[in-house]
Amino acid sequence: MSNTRWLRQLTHWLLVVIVTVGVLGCWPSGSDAVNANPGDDMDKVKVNITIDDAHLEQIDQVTEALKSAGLEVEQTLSTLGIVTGSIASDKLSSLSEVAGVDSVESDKPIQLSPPDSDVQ
Amino acid sequence: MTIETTGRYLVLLPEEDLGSGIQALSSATGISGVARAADFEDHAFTTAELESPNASVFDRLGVAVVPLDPDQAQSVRASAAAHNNVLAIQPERIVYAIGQAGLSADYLRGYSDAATHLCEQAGAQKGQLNIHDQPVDYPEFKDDQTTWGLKATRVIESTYSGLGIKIAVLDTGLDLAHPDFAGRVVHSRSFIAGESAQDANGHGTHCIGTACGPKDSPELPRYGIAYNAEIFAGKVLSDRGSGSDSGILAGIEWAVNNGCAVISMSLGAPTRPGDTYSPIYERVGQRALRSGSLIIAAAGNDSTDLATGRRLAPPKPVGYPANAPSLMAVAALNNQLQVASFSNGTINLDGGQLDIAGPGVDVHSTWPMPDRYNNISGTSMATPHVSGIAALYAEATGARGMELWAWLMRDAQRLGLSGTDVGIGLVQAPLL
Repeated sequence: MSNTRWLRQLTHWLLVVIVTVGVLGCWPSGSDAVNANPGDDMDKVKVNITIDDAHLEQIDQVTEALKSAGLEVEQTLSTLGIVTGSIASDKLSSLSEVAGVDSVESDKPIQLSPPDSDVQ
Repeated sequence: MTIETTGRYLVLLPEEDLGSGIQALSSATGISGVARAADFEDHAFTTAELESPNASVFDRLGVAVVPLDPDQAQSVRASAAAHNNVLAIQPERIVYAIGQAGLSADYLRGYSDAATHLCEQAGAQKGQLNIHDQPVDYPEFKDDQTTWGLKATRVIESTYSGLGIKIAVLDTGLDLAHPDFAGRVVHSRSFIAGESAQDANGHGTHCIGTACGPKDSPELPRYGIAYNAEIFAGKVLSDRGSGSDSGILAGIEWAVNNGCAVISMSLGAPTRPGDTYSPIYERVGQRALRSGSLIIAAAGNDSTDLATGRRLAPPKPVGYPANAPSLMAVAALNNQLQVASFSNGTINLDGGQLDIAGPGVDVHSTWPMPDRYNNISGTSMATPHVSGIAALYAEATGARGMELWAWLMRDAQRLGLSGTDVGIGLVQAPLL
């Protein structure tokens, strides 16, 4: 009798382990977007930062300040006044404090309907 | 309602040659007395002068006011018809302030009788006669020569081709080997890591075909609008149709830096009621406009009721990033000029408005080889119609940025449909 009970407990425990691993494996990591930086870990967020009109001419200085605040710069778009990059999620709030920053937004994914759809 | 006239006429003269216009008016009418506004202080005619037998010429406006008898008026009409330095003539009307107390009871009664008479003539039901009640008989656009979209927007009647204009289409790229684009100036650039600008999806090729396809399509029907425009194919969406803001923004930067008058973006994500617009796209839209680039974006295709196939009531809100005010948001119409079931609407009042509509159902255009062509629907298809036509206006008027926006809005075909569904109406090509 005790063998059966032990077996049942083992089976139950194994099931829990298998289900947990399965769920963790399926869990979407971050966004569904094309991940241009496959090396990023899950604690980093991709952001797009707008430089305000007054600081457009000094975008390079603002970019340096953003780097000091922890931003890993991906692109500096000087005509539009945008800096893109990634940063540890716990340092995100410090970006808006940097002089010359107008707004900080997370990088959002865009996805078209499949090419064989009637409506695209 | 009777039109009250003064017995004088307004004559429109050519602004680039006022002197010839005045001479033509004199010789048509035998009137030699001409008074110019420029001779009066502040260009302000005295009432005595305006009521004299002379022709009173408003120099800045290029308009003359002159008393004429019927024969003289007819003579001027003939000059106008013959394009003989006189452009148009109309009787001078008496007008009244709207809603003014003091209109006589007789006048109002006459007005009311005339309006009622018109109502009865038109066979309208009791109640208001308005654009929604008028029987609408849209011409059958179907044609083997031209897609219905090019007919409905009057592209086929336009003499403009986008010559000298750069259009950027930010999408899945372009089939760079497609025979329909042979001989065209094409700049392509990929903003997707690991992929070239070569379109393996189809969406980008279809949109570029609509905006910029050839005049003499190797296979009919003709489907392309700005057939002489310089094409900037920016791949901001992968071959699987995925992208993100950073790639799209990089594409916009590239297009603005290259002097693209039009940036076409048939892409986006759904929004929910209550969402506001992106400050970043709004700022980018403003900066692009100031630099002479108009961004035109699809309103989104989220509004079909999946259970019935009809349009949701209310529809879903205009999507992101088209909902930013400084991006022109485009809705989709079918060939009966009804709103497509999938086409999003103006729901969110904080940004999120539809600006204009384009042909977006059953749109035939290019597709990667070997398929060559495809027929699909979407606000993605309506958007390049507006973009291609924007390039025609840019060529026709020299306008850029906000001024170009204004041209598109001014000449759109108003429809008997709500602005929250179609914006200002159906985009129309420049004809003059």
